[in-house]
This record gives sequence, structure tokens and C-alpha cells, in this order.
Amino acid sequence: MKAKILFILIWFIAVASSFHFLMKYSAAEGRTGVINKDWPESTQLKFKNPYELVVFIHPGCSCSKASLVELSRLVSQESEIASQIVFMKTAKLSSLLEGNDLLAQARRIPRATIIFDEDGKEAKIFGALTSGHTFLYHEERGLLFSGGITAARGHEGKSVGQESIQHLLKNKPARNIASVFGCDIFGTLFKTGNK
Amino acid sequence: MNTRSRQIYHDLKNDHARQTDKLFAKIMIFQWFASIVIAFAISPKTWSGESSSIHPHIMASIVLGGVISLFACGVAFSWPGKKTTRHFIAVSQMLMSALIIHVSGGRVESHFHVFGSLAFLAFYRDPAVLITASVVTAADHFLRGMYWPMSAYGEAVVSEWRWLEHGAWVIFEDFFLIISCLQDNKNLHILSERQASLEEINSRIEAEITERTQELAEQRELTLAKEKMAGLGEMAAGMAHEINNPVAFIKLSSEQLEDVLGDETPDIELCREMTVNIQNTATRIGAIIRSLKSFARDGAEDPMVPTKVNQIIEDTLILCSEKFRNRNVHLKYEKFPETLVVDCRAVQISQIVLNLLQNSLDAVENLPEKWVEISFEDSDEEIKLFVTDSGNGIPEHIRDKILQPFFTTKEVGKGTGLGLSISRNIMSAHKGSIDIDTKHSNTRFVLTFKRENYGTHAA
Repeated sequence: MKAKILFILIWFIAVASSFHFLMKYSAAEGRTGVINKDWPESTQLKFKNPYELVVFIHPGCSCSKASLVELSRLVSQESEIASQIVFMKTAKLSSLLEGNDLLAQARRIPRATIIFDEDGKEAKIFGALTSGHTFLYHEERGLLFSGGITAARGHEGKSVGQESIQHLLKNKPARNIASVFGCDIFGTLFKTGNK
Repeated sequence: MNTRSRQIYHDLKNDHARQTDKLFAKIMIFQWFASIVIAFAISPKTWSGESSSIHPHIMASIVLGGVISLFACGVAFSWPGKKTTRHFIAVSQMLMSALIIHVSGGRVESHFHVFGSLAFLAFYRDPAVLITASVVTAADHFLRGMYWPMSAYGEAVVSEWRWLEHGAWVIFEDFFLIISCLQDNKNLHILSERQASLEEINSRIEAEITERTQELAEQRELTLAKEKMAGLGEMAAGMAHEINNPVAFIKLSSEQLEDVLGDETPDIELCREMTVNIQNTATRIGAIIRSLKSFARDGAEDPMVPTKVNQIIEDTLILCSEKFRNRNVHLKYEKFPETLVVDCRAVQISQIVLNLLQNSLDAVENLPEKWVEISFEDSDEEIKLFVTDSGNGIPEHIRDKILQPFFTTKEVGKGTGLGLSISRNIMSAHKGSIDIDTKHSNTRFVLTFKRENYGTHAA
């Protein structure tokens, strides 16, 4: 009997601690840089519409698959917005972009413009340090939203960010900031960002 | 429901639970590998700038999936059929659902794993198992809703009753699965009752068959005894004559002896001679009676012992030689060598020889040439004993039937039709055989004793 209780106890501890680790990992927010309240002047990205939705992606980040799924859902429901999807590109990462699933997924999103960000210059300008970081700017009101559009790392489904963007597009009150979940775009390449 | 049907119900449930435990052990291993494959396919690596490492989902699939699956497998094989085993498996299965949903990125499709798991768990036909599984799912949502609401519901702030909304779908499925389990159990009850009833009928039939078999065996014993007594009856007339003659001789000799002894000077030499004659005649009567007693005894339980064939033949002839003389049938027999020995039950072999001689006597009685011969053939492998008569052989169309029980060519009331059949059984018990020599011009039966069997018979 004692052996059975010990067996169940060991099993329970092993399972509970593994799930705890998994949840902790999934719910770990990514870091963000300095966010511009207005459309950055130094950026090469063009402001073409009343609303500009900019999403930064690390080409190897499997968690960002969920971000692109949610982005696709968002633009399908909100026909007045277009998006600019910015892929991090360095000499070392360029091989990742060949036949990249995320890139193919991004190209299928309606009204999306794909931009390759050499050495993450644009990401630094916008303050996007985590893959999946999404910004919503209005031509007059400036930054409306900054954050992630998934609920956890690589987790599809409803999220605070997604709901906030939908409300903001309808001029409804909503949170203008949300946590970002994804891989670090720069890692050791850029250490100045803060959480 | 009576005790037996309850026992059958319990056994069937237990067997079913054991099989389902083993099925789940396999499913667990399959799911474990599947979760690793899914994790590899969806999130092989995690990146930080230009460097990458194995994604934690892969490690989680290997380690957490392994802990869940292997423990469940161990329990399934260590304690199959136990109630606690299926509840442990139910908990493990729902945790596996949670893991697979997680590593597949919480896709809507992956949530069907929960419903599929419940459907599989319904194989146990135990509503309590479904309740355990549902409680685990609800607890998973409840705890994650409390501590990581975004991973469970995709929202940071959720109502404290939100887990019930998700649980409702599970309860909805449970409702139908539990009805199905209860219906299955009801059917199992009916099946158990039917099986118990069939067993009772079978048991009654078996008892009846045993009783009938016993009756048949007794009947057979009686028939065998009858066959033997019939043989003895046939001999009775000859025997009476066989015994009467020496008795008459003794009577006459003793009267003469009395007369001689009445003389004034009795001839002592004559008296001695007459006394010796009386003694010899009495010895002969004794031998006849011994043979008769021996034949009447059931020798089936006797041990197999090496016996001189001569002895068997002579003991048999004492019983029937008079009959041959009465019917004017010439009996050809020259004493066999003393070294001719077979491993046998002498009484049974004597019964066979007597039966063959009786058959031959009946067969040649009305022939112009009447003789019966007893001869032998000795080789390294076997000893053959022949009983040949002056008949022209057994007709071909009855050769196959002649050794079968209840087959006889004699007129009604004269033979039971069991003589040769019994002889065949006796020879089989001696690992020998009885055959008809179809190549011989006359009717010839052959008894074959294999030398290799000597000493191998059961005592």
C-alpha cells in the first residue's frame, strides 16, 4: 500500500512539475523595445492607409505560426485594414527564408505586404524585439496598439491583443497594450531592449 | 440474477477490463510517439536571434509524455482489470490530451482529442471512469483558468465559472456515453443470465449422458459376461460327457477294487494298479474343473506375464476336445515347443482361442471334410498363432464386418456376434492383432504377438 502511494506521489510530482514548466514557458512574455507613439520618421515602411498594421516575425519562430493565423483571421474580419509583415533577415538567417513556411503563410494573408528587414533595422526602430509583435497605427491618432495577438507562445485562439485591435478599429475603448509571445528576434544581437 | 450469472457477469467484466487496459497501454505508447512527432513537425526549434535550440515542446513530449504513458502502461500490465488501474489510465489519457493540445498549439482540431479519449474510455463500460476523466479535464481548465487563463481560454481575464462552459461540452458527450455504457452493462447482464442458464442445461445433459454411459457400460459388461457364459454353455454338454466318463470309470474301478479286496488272497499288485488308475482319473477331473474355473474368471485385470503357449492351448483344449470328438471333427494339434512364450493375460488368450475353435467347429460341422488345426509360426519379430479349419475361407463381402460387434453369420440365438469383436479388443490390449489370412486356401485366423512389446505392457 505504501509503495502504491509513493508511486502515485512520484508520478504526480513528475507530471505536475512538467506541466508547470510547460505552462510557464508558454506564458513567458517576450521582451519589447522603446515604442514610438507616432509613426517613426526614420522608418522605410510606408504609411499607405488610414490604419497600418505592422507585424514583426523571426523566420525560424514556430510560435509565430499562431500569430500569422490570428493575423489572417483579423484581416479577414476587418476589411478596411492591410498589414505589413516584416521578416527579420541577416546573413546567417537568410538561408531560413528559402522555402520558409512562415513566409508562405504570410503571402497567403489578404492585403499583406512582405518586407525583409536587413539586420533588424526596422524592428529596432519600432521597438519590436519579440517575434509576433504587432503595431496598429492611425494616420492621425498615432499608435493605437502594441503587443502580441496570441494568448500564449504558439497558442492559437482568442487573445487580448486580437480583441483590442478589433475594438480600436471600431473606435471602441480597449487596451492598447498586450504581452507578446514568441522567439526573441535579436537574441544577443541587440541587448538594449527592456521588458 | 443468481450466483452463477453474477459470477459470469463479474468474469466477463473483468476480462473486458483487462483487454481494455492492454489496449490503452498500446494507445498510450502510440500517443507518446505521436506527441513527439507532432512537436517535431510543429515546433522543431526555438530561436533567439541567430541561434537556435531544441524547442521545449519536444522535450515536454519526450519527458512528460513518457512519464504519463509509461506509468500508465506499467499500471495496465501490473494490475490489469483493477478498478484503480482504469481510473489511473483515465487520468493519464486526459493528461495526454492536454499535452497533445498544448504541443499542437491549441488548435481547435486538437481539442477533439478530448472527445476521442472519452469515447475510447467508454470501452471500459464503466461510467465512473468517464466521470474521473471529465473531472480531470474540468480541473485542468479550472486550474489553468486560475493560473494561466490565456493558455486555457485565450484571454487574460476570465470569469471564474468559465471552466464550466468548456466542461459542459464534455458533460454533453458524457451523457450519451454513460447511457451507452449502462445499456452495454444491461446487455452483459442478460448475456450472463443466458450463459448461466445454458450452463445449467449443459450440466443436466452431461449428468444424463454420464448416467446413460454408465448404464451402457454396465450393459456391455453384462453382454460380455453373457458371451462368455454362452461359450461355457456350448461346452456344457461335452463337459458333462468329459467328466461323466472318468467318474463312471472311478465308480467301476472302486467296485472292482472292493471285489478284489473281498477275496481271501487279494492281488495286491492289481489293487495298486487300480488305485493308480483311480488317482489318474481323479487328477484329470481336477484339471478339467481347474480349466473351467480359470475360464469363468474375468482375466481383464490380470497382469501381463510370460506364459507358455502350450499351456494356454492345452488348458483350452481340455474344455472343448470332447465336443470335437462328439462331432467327429478332427483336431490337429502337435504340442508346441516349451520355449514358445508370449507376454499375455492367459485367461483372455484362452478365451480367444476357445472362441475361434468354437467358430471353426460350427463352420465345419456340416462339411464333408472336417478338421481344425492349431499351429504357429515363430520369428525374431513376432509369434503367430494360427487356427485353421477345413472351410473355404471367409467370403470377401463379410471380411470387413466380421470383426465388428454384433455381426454374426450364425442362426439367431446361437451367437451374440461379439466373440470376434471382443477378441480384437483383447489383442489390441496386448498390442497385437487378430486377422483373417485371406491368402490361405482354407479359413484361417491369425493371432499376432509382437516380441517388441514384451515387458512393455501395463501391469
